[in-house]
Amino acid sequence: MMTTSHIHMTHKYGETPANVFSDFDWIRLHEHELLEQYGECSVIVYQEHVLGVGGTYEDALENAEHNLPLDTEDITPVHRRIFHRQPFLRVHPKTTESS
Amino acid sequence: MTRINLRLYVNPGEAEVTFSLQMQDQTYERVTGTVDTGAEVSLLPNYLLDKIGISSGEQHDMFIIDQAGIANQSFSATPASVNLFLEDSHGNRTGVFEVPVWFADTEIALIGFAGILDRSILHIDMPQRIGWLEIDA
Repeated sequence: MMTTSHIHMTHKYGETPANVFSDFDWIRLHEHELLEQYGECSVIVYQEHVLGVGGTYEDALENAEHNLPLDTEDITPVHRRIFHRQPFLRVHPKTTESS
Repeated sequence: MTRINLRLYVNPGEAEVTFSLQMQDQTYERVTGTVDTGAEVSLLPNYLLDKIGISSGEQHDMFIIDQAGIANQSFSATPASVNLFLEDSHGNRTGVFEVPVWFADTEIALIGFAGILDRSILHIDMPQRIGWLEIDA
């Protein structure tokens, strides 16, 4: 379960904290700035503030935990990968070999 | 049919949908995915594999995929079935349903046809920046 101290990354069905969609939007709309500042990485964002960054999801979560003030109440941040976008994302299956 | 509003962006253009993936402990983790009408199967990042209880080391489940039209690039993927639901910022959400997906070394989740778009009505109006999918789930 991705619950680290006061940081709650998972939820029950039907639980939608108010920050979730605005935070996803904020990351997407500030993608260029975040890329310039942090490079390609995972970011943990809560209420339009970057709580943690890292090369992996786990690193970013650990960084967020480290940056969190001791008196913080339970929070529900979101995670997203920041990366340089490729012009084509299309995926079409053509299995060529088993490994 | 449940109407799930998409989030539409420009520069680069993208239609996003939010879904929650069921974890091993029956809780859900929220992920944003790009609607991709060129994807026959949804693609999810590998980091989610361990969370849903599938070991990424299970090599026997992996296979190689050629990406059509992209300079002979290929990648390995792990096929799996996951439980998820879609939701939007207006409070709309589907029930939990099972979807076949591939896990791969990708930065982005792509929402494709199998189990999702193939049971949806998709509407995207870029000039108005509105879009939704209606899904029987």
